[in-house]
Amino acid sequence: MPVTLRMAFRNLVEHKAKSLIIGTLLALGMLIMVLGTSFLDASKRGIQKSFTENYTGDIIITGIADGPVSLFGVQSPGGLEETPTIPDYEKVLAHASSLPGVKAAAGMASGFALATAESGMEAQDLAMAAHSNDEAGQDDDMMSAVMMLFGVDANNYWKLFSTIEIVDGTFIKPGEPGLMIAEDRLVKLSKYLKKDIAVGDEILVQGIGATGIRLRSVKLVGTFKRVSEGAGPEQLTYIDIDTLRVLAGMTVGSSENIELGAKETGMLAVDDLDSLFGEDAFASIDSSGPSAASAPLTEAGIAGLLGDTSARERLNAADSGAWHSILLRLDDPGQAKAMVIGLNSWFAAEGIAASAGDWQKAAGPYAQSVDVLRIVFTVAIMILAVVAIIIIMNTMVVSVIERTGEIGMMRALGAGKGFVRKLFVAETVTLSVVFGFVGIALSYAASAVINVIGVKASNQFLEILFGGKILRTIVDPLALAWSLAVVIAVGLLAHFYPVSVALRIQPVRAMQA
Amino acid sequence: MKHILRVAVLGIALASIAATGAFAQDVPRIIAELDRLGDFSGSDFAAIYTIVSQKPGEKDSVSQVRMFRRDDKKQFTLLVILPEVNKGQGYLREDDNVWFYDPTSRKFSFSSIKENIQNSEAKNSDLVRKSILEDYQVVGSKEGMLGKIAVWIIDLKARTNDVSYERVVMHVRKDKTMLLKEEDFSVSGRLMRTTLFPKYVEISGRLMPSQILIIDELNPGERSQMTMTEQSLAGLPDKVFTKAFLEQVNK
Repeated sequence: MPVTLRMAFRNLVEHKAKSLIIGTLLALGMLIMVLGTSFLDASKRGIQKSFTENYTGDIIITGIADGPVSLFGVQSPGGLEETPTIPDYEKVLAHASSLPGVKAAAGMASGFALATAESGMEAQDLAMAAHSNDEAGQDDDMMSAVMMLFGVDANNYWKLFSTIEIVDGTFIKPGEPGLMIAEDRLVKLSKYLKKDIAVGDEILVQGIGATGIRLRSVKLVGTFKRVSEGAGPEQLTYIDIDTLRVLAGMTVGSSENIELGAKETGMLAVDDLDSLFGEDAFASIDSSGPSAASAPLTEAGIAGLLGDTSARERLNAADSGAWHSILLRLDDPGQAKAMVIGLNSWFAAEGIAASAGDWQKAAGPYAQSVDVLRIVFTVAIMILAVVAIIIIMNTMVVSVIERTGEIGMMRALGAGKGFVRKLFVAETVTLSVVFGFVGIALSYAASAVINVIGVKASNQFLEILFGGKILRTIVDPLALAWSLAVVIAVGLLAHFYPVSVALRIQPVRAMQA
Repeated sequence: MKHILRVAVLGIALASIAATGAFAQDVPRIIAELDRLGDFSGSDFAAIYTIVSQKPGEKDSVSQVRMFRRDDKKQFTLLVILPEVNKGQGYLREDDNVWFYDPTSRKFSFSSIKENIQNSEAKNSDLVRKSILEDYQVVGSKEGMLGKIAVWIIDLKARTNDVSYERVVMHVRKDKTMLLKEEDFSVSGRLMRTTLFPKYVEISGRLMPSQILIIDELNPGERSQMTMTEQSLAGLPDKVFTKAFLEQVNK
């Protein structure tokens, strides 16, 4: 063992209390860094796993809009932009499915709806319940009725997501209308609608889509739970694609052209609003009165009030070729990035207005909120680490300054500046390595305790942060090496300046100090 | 000369104070008259409302609805005529309950009165009777011009939290009680919506707006024009205000 290292050991042992204080701080710093990074890693992996296994698959293909398109629609400033459908759906699906490495592919479309009551007393009760509850309770109740609808291609969708487990009933079958709701959501919905809903019952769903409101009574074919729980939309409800298309306004008549005369549209183009109130003031009163067409309505006239409604049925037929997205499951999720690039090149070459992306594109606003949370948490951990580093450095600086006399003595006895420096480097590295390993041991122990206890996420915010319902930490060897390097660097930095100052003082004065 | 000027100035000042005082006394009467014009108690009311909404970069959205009102019983029925895809859809209100009817599934559902009518700037509450005097108090009034028309400009502040806007400024024509312009402000004082009433129709001695322009001041370029035709104050069959009516018109 080199003489400097031996002296370093001896010095550390000599200054037991000081070494222990600095060492404890180093070990704690190490613990914070290792646990923090392992927590963030676990959270990231958890979120990715939960999303890809439950909702997004490995790759998503969507149409193109002004804002980013995800499974949950278009993110636009107003939030009302219509979700684009995939052009040449059959061709795109065939191409994507044929790519090597693609395990399964399925189309889907999404929309929003409210479960609602039919007419009569139920509605009265709902109204009364809404009035009698306090506002927060009312909002909670309303949230029980909100459905984020995933209209699925029942032939293929279930092959992509093996995490969906039927609790009661069946999966939605190809060509059959039906609704599948999460087991826990059904309990809340039953409470909201004030009736026990079971598989086989009809649920009245009010869709809010491009063409306005649509009501459909849909049979509840199954309830489900997820094998892999985690962050994601709680309100997710599966529905057959054709019913979804009607509820979301993906119908033949969604782009109807209506021609109106100047009387009905004239004012929309007026820039100078004062010009609407001109000199011919009395012209603003149409004294001709009601037209002949407004003859009093009689019971007999009611039936003919609406005129011909035959076009309505045709316009309300679901557009059978309309899909919002295609999801792909890969044999190796690691290939997702390369495949996304390949798909986007193919779309460009074929002139198809579609875009492929990874699970984060698919998760859209959910992935972004997760990212924001992660950034906030990372910054918090970094601040904690910086504070720990400052404390460690401060303590080390003080400990070196206290040994100015000792440095002077060594110099007076003939020790060169280089030797003194080497001695302090050896001491710091020894201290950092020893207590760094103590920190590592503590991290493993803390991680094991956390994993054994199983800290549960009590709300959705924590669920997102934890990357699942339970906090799991995985100590990453890379994070260990990185943290150890930081601890050693901190030690070296902390001693460099005070040692340099002490070395600049004349040995005699240093001894006197 | 100085003395004459002083007297003249004083005279003008006193005259304007007197005029303002007289007008201030008239304001509640003007508001009450506006309330009376908007109140269809004692008679039924029917009309066709055509609403065209314009948003920048989007195709104009068109809705046409047939409206039936019976204010005495807090009832209204609204029947969608256009777009064709929604033809026959209906809203039925009785007291605070509103039902929505979808003829394509022949189903009713309960719906809130505060929802906007078919994504336009108009709200259901714009179509039901409301009393300005009950909801607002007068906080200021002055004379002014709207285009070439002399108007009273009346500043109103909300009495309750149940109204959509905290402050409303109304421009009411002086020679006839006609609301020509309304500006709605938020609690923070921001202008949210401007509504213009440039055309009226006179039915049975009652003035009713026949064209309305609603400007969304928060989103530049977003406007809705509402045109009313076939207005009638004739009595309506009771059946009009029942669910059976909405089902029958769709048969």
